[in-house]
Amino acid sequence: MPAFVSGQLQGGLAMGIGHALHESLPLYEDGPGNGTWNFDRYRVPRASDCAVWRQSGEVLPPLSETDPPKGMAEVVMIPVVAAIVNGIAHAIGHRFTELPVTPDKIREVLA
Amino acid sequence: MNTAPLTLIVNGVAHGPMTVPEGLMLIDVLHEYLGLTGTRFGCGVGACFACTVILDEEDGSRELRSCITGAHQLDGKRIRTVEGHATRDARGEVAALSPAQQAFLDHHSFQCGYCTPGFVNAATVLLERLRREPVGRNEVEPTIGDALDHHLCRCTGYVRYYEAVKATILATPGLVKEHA
Repeated sequence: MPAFVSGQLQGGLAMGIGHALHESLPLYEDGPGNGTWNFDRYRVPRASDCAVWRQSGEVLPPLSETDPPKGMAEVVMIPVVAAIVNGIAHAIGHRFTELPVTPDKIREVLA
Repeated sequence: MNTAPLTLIVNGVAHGPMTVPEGLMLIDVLHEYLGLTGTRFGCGVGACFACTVILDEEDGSRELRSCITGAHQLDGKRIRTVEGHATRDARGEVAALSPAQQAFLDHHSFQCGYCTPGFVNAATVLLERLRREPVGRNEVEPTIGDALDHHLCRCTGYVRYYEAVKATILATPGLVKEHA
C-alpha cells in the first residue's frame, strides 16, 4: 500500500506540473470536441519535466484518532500548482493568474 | 481495396503470407489478424509511444511505433510484442516474466497500465543495448532518461518506471562499466 500511495503522490505531482506549465484546451468550437486535439498538440508532462530522481513525498501522521482521511491522487496536484506559480512569482516578480504559465508568457513579462 | 501479401515473424513465430490491405498499420495487423491485443493504440499519431513494439535487426533491437508504421514496410521482419517477453512452459502458460516486466510489477510502476507495453518494450531495448554497450555507473540515470523520456504516462508520474529500470540495470551483471 505505501507503494501505491507514493505512486499517487508522484502522479499527482506530474499532473500538477502539467496543469501549471503545459496543459491547455480552448473552450467551445476549437476545444477538445472538434476532434483535432491529440498528444501532438496537447502537451502533458514527460519524465524530464518531473524531477524523477530527486522528488520525495511526506505523508503526515493523522492529527488525532478520529482525524478523517484527506484523500490522494488528484488532491495532490492542488498545492503543486500554487507552489509552481508562487515560485515563478518569487523568481521574476510577476504573479500569473492564468494557466498554464508557458515560456512565451514569461518572456513577454520579462521583455 | 488493394491487398498485398504480408509475412511477419512475431515473437519468433512466422505468420503468413497473409492477404492484408495495403496501408494497414502494423498495430492493426497485430490486433486483427494475429489476435495479439496487448499492444496499445494510444494517440495514433506516434506521439505517446504506447504502441511501441520491438524491431529486431542484425545489429540489435530498436523501438518501433506500430500505430504509424505500415505493416508492409516490415514484410519479412522480426517483431517482438509485449506478449513475447515472458518465458512459457510446454503448455504455453507464462512460467516467468522478463526482467523488465518483473521489475515493473515489483516496483508498482503502473496503475492503469495503458502505457505499460510500450514501457516494457522500450526498457527491454535499453537493457539489450546496455548488454552490447555498457555505460558508466554515473551515466545510468541520464541514459534511462534518454531512452524513455518520449513515453507518456498519465498515472504514476514516471518515478516508479524509472526506479524499476535503474534497479534492473544495477542488478544485472555486465550492463554497467565498473571502472568508468
